[in-house]
Order: sequence, then structure tokens, then C-alpha cells
Amino acid sequence: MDKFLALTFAGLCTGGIYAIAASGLVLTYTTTGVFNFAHGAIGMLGAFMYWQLHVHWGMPTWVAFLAVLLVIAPAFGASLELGIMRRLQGTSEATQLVVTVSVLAASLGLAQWLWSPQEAHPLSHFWEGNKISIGPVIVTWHSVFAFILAIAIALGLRLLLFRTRSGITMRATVDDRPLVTLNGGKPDRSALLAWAIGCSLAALAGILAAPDQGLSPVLALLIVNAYAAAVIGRLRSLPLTFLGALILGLADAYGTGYINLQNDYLNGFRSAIPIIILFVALIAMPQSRLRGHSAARSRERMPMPSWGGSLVACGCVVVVTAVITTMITDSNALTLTRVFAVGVIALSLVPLVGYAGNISLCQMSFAGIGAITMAHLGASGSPIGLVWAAFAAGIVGALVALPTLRLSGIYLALATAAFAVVLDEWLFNLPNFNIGPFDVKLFELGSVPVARLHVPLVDPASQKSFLVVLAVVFCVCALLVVAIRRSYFGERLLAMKDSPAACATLGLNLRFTKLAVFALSAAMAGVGGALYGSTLGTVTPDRFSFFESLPLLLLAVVGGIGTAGSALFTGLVLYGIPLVSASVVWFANVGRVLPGAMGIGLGKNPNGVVPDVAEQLSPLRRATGILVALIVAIVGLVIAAKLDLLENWPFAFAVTGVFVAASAVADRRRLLGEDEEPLEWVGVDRAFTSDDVRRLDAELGLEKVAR
Amino acid sequence: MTDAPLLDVRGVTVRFGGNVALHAVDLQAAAGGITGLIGPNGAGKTTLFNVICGLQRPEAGLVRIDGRDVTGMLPYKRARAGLARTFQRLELFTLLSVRSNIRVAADIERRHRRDRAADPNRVADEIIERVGLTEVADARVDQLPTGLARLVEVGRALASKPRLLLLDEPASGQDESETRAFAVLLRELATDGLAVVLVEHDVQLVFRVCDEVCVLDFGHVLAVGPPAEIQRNDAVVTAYLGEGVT
Repeated sequence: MDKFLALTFAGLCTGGIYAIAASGLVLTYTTTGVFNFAHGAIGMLGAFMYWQLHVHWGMPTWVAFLAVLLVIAPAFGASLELGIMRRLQGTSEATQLVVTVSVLAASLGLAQWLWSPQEAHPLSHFWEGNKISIGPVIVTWHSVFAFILAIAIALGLRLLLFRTRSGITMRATVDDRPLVTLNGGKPDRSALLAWAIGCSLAALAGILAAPDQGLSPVLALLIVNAYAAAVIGRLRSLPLTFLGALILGLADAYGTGYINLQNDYLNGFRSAIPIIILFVALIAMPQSRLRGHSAARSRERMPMPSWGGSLVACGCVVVVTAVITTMITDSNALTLTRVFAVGVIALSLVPLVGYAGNISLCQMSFAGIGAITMAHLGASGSPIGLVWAAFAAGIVGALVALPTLRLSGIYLALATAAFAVVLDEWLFNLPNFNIGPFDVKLFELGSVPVARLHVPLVDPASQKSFLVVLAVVFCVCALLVVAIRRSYFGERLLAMKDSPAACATLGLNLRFTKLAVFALSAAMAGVGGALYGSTLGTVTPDRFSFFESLPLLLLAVVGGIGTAGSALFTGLVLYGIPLVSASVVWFANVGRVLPGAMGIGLGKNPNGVVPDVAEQLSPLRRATGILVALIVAIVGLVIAAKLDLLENWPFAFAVTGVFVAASAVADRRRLLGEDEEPLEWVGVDRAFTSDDVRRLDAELGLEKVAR
Repeated sequence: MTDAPLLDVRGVTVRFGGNVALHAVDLQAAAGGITGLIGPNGAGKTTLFNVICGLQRPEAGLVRIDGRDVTGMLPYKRARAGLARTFQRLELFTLLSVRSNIRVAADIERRHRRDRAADPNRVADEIIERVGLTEVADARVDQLPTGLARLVEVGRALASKPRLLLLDEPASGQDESETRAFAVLLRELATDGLAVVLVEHDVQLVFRVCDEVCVLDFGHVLAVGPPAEIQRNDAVVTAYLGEGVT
């Protein structure tokens, strides 16, 4: 009984910390409509700042505490709102989500950059050592403090939102932003206030949680648990959120107290409890009405890739890879194999996110399942292992999709995130077990070796031929994605993304379609994971964690999630940067923050990098003469490099330069060309390009006016 | 016209918070006929469409299609029972061309009928010609003027081979000659045996093409009857023009 009481008190205190974090999240969501995925990471950064001021620079406890809560965190929140979130008004939910996920990824990178994960950053409790006894139970002052703060904050927020003018403006802003403006309210100011308070609450939760949980980037994940409380509160109700937080805290405490930690099967389960509660809360969400169009139309374009262009692009990728193999070392070749392996995982996002509009934050988890399947069933590197990997990951994908079919937008993203965390906290760390007649082998409590993919007629020992094999496999997968886009299935996916309501009234079974695309995408991620495993040699669960899925999604979206080319972009940024940073040391830290930073810039260009580059290069395709000259020039450069007349870096710069020059010449020639179609037909028989806008401006004399 | 109505709505009530959007509304539509549904803005016309096609759950009441109770069915099952609709606030697939919009619908229809022989491309071409979209068949739908975009919605609905067609303000944004052509198309569809329910603010058009007109006001059915009768109905005139006008 005493144990039960002690656990109850501990649970209530943890619940208090969750409540503080969750109410900050609910506050920013209800007032700005943006679900802040980075909330946990902001709490983690707040705790690190407190450590920096208090422990490292020796400021007194309360000075450091108040400086973080009242100055640094609110300033951080306000600058987030001013610099990033304000521009997101009127963008799609997916863009908002990717941007906040980018802030999360960038924060994690920043924390690792500033506070080395190799060093310990110990934080002591408030009033360390002081305890009081409540009945038979002894509780620390720190815990009591946390709980009292939680109650005070809950009451304070309630008063703020319902009893003060700025609170009422905040609530009105969500309902109808323009109307608030017309009535003399200042929605921008309430958004600013909400972000400042929200970040301050996140930091408070981080500081309170850090002494017990340890101060490390993983703290960001702990506060992710608070998302479960917010979802129980339906992201709107503060009292229900508070209740949800207490339930979470108690479940956590009883789990710690009563689950046998010596048992390998249950050890990880404990840390997965809040996430499982999140998953259950999401599934129990009431059915929302089918969505039609959002009021704000996105400026997205989804060009249909042609077979000719796709085949040429794939041919170029393979040829360029083959040429590159002759110029690099074996170890660099191995790094480059990962570009293509990760590229295949990123490709799996194109049908799911790009075509169907379903956001997944667990793609690396599917990849992990593919990797362990390859490890256990593709023992000698036989390609059959890839088939098994696709099969296993596809089934798991369908199993994940099944309970989440009703969800969309942030709720679906949260559910996939929850699944990813359950896998890396619990399931991936399980020892072998049996389900009926099947032996299930996972990571065997550590790492498992994955054999290198063995293809007939290819020397298995050569890194370089392995690189070419992977380039070919990537291209096959990319062509598969092109085939999906060109099929009726692909059209159905785009239609479903555009207007689920219209699809349903035409007789499309939305759930089945969603299930199909989830399974397909998971299967492809499984193949990618198997390849990734075989480039790594041995795989560990941390290669496939939730945090690894984030940069993948970000970069794929930044690259242009509607095109297969974005996958290559993703691979190049993730594994091309390590190659660069091997020679330029300071770049390593930039590389940590880069994916996040790129995602944050997304609001500006929702179409992505790859379609932009394709548009830039399109004049080249029609200018045969320049194209021939370009190829001759590049062959010449390659020969020069082979004869050691050129180092690698000058060679790379020269190739890029020749490309840019050729494209500029072709563009110039096209602009002067006489067989242009009349402007009034543009847009009817083909889509508008930025060039057309320029032409239109020129004909109407708008450029002069603008100047 | 047959005796049993293809669409039979009985006593449908919908409340949004304290607002009664529909109060015990009845509506029938017969195969081979056009039923007009008119009423001032906010009368509940679109809500009634949403109830019929399953996007809005009613608090009370029944929806029967061809004698079959579909009240609890998901929208896609109702579509497979022969229901199609257009949307007042356009719900076109903006990422696709006009042809693809219609082809997707034809493909979905073919798929659930398990008819491998049907060619969605051919169906799309036929419909494009029938509704008069040939010139813009390959344009992206978000670049069309509203009048044409509404025709794409009609074409898309037709591609699912419905027996019951709900049209939500299909003629708004059309000019006079387009409206005349559209009226001809509507009569053709009825002659083909479809039951058409038409929500439209162009009362002239409604009275010209409809066999039966139902007037909604603040969620209540004000009057039902042939156009000539409705035009003389005092309650309808009052609802539309206000008190004191005769």
C-alpha cells in the first residue's frame, strides 16, 4: 500500500510536468492554429540554457531560472513567431507541419552542436535533499514545487483565456482571424503572446524534468509524451489536458513501480507507455467530417513525368555514378552507396506524402523492419531478402495504417510518430520471441550483421560495383514511382489528396486506398532499409529511430515531394554532406542543422528544389546543339581528370560551371527564339512557368512600372 | 415517371449547436424527372445534399435510394448505389486536368463494377463532348472560369454513371447562352431516366426545366408542387420578397 501511495504521489508530480508542457502546446495551437511539433525540443533547449547559466556560468538558481523563463524562452518564442510562424498563415497543414518538424530537427542539431552529447550535463533538483513526508510517503520539495506550479499555471491560463481582454482576443483569433482584425483586435499580437508563453511553459517543463530524466537531447522526446495529454484534451480543452497529463503521469509511475525491469520483454515497454496512450487517444478521437478543399488554395504543381524524360534522367544517374566510381576511393564509394539506399527510403515518401497527402513520421521504422528482415532472411545477400523485406515492411505498414485510417493531418502525423517511438523504445529492443510457429528475430539486443546485396555477375567484394548496383536499384524504384504517378492509381491518390469529400461521393473507398498506399510505401521503405542495412554492414536500432525519420521527411519535402528526383536530393544532402565535411571540418556542425534550416525556409517555395531545377534546365532539352556541346565538354573534363590534369574539387566546380553556362545560353536563345507560342494560349495548353510570368510582365511593360 | 420515387427523404432533422438547419424535411425525386430545390441563402439546401450523400449525419430521419435505406451508409457506398453530386463550393481535383478529373471518376466506377472492358479514357471523351468541354479538355481545372469549372463537376458526376444526380448551383457563373445549353442538357439527362435534384438560385431556370419544385426556408419545407403552382404560392412569394408584396 505504501508503495502504491508513493507511486501515486510520484505519478501526480510527473503528471504536473506533463500538464505544464501540454498546456503550453494547447495554448499555441488554440490561438494560432499551428501544432508545434518542436514544443518538446524547445523545452529541451530551455533546460540546456538553464544549465548553461546556472551550472556552467555559475549564476544563482533563481536568477538563472527566472532569466530562462521570463526572458530567454519568451524571446525565443516571440522570434519564432515573428521569423517563421507568421509567414505560415494560409499555407497548407502539411507545410505548417513540416516547418515545425524542421524547427524540431534544427533544435536537436543545435543542442548537439552547442552541448556535446559526449559530456554529462547534470542538473540538481530545486532544494536538493529537502523532503517532506505526507502520511507514510516521503516526497521531495522539487516534486511538490512542480505539482503546485502545474496547478497554478492551469488556473492562470484559464483566467488569461476567459477573463482578460488579450485572452479573449486569442480565442477569437482562432475562430475568425479577419473578423478579429475588423473589430479592432490585433491577432498578430495575441499570436506573439501565445508563442512567448508557450515556449516559456515548455522551458519550465524541461527544467523541472531534467534532474530526474537527465539533460540530453532525448529530453525533447520526453516532452513529446506530453502530446498525449494534449490529444486527450482534443488540443482545445485545458481542463481535459490537465486530466490527461495526470493519467499519463500515474500510468508512467505505476509502470515503473510494478513492471519487472529485469524482464527484457517489458523493460522498454515502460518508456513506451505514454506513447501507447497517445496512440490510443488518437484512435479514440471522434470521427471528423470528411474534408473538402481548404479555403486557401496551394500553389502546388504536380507535373506528369514523361517516360522519355524519366528514362533519360535514370540513364544519366547510372552513367554519372559509373564515371564517379573511377575517380574516388573505396571508402568514399561506400558512403555514396548510402545516398542511393537512403534515396530509396525517401522515394517511398513520394507516393504517400507527395501524391496521397498522408504525412508519415515513421518511414525509418519501416526501413528498420526491412533491414532486420534482410539480416535474417537475406543471409548471403541474396536479392530474395529484398522481397522479404518489402513483404514484412508492407504488412507492418498496413497494420499501422489500419487503426489510423480515420486520421489525417497532424493527427495522422502524431500517430505515425507514436508508432515510430514505440518501435525504437520498445519493440526494436526485444530479444527473439515466437508468435505461434514463427520465430521473430529483431536486433537481438544489440546489432545484427546485414550481408551485402549480392547480384549475379557482379564482384561482391568491390565497393565500386556495389555503388553502381545500388544506383541501378534506385533508378528501378524511381521508375516504379513514375509508373504509379502515370497510372489510374496515381490519379486516384492525387484526387484523394485534393478533395477526400469529392472522392467519397464518387464511390472511392478512401480507407482502402489509404491502406494500399501505406502498405506500398512501407514496402518500398523496407527495400530501402534492407539496402541501407547492407551498406552499413551491421545495423543497430538507433539507425532507424524516430529522430532519423525527421530529416528524411523534411528533405524530401524541400526537394519537392511530388517528384522522384526529391529522393536523390534527400540522399545527396544526408550522405553527400558527410563527404564534403570530411574535407571541410567546420561544415560538420552546419550539416547537423542544415536539414532543419532548409525545412524552415519551405514556406517560401512550396514546390521544392528539384522541380525548380528541372524548370531551369528545360530549355536545354530542346537545344540539341548546346546539349551536344555540353556532353563533349563534360567528356573532355572527365578525360582531363583521368589524366590527373584536374583535381577532384576543381573538376566538380568545372562540371557545375559548364552546366550553368550551357543552361544560360540555351535559356537566352529560347528567349530570342521566334517560334514562341502566343501568350494567350499559355496556361490553357500548358502550365504557367516563371518565364511566362516574366514574358507577360515584359509585354505589358510591368517591369518598367515596378522599377 | 415511375410510382416509387428513386430518392425518398423522410423527416430529416439536422442541428448545428442550437441552430436548426433542417427540421423534419421530406423530399422525393422520381426517375426521369427534375426536382428543383429552392430557397433563400441559409435555407438548408446544401445541408440536405450533405445528408443525402452521407457527408452529414442527420439527427433524425431516413434517406432511401431506390427503396433501400442508406441512412447509416458511408458516402462511397451510397455513390455505388447510384448517387452522384456536384458541390456549390467547387471540389474539383485541382492538381489534375479536365480530362483526368472525369477519367478518375470513370475509373472508380469501372473498378467497383469490376468491368475490365470499360475504358475510362473513352468514357471521359464522350462526357467531355456531351457537356461541351472539348476545347479545354487538357487545361488544368484551376485555370478555368467558374462556369466551365461547374460543368467539369457535372461531367465528373456523370462519369460515375449515377441514377440519381444532385446538382448544387451548377448554373451560377454561366452566361445566358451557356445556361440555355445547360437546360437542354438537364432535360436530356432526365429523358435518359436519371432522377435529377437541382439546387439553383436562377429561379427562371428552375421553373423552366423542373417537373416539381420544393421550397425550403429556415430548414422547413414551405411548399412542394409543380412550378406553376409554386409561382402562385403566397408563402413562397413572402419568403422570397418579404411581407406586403403581392
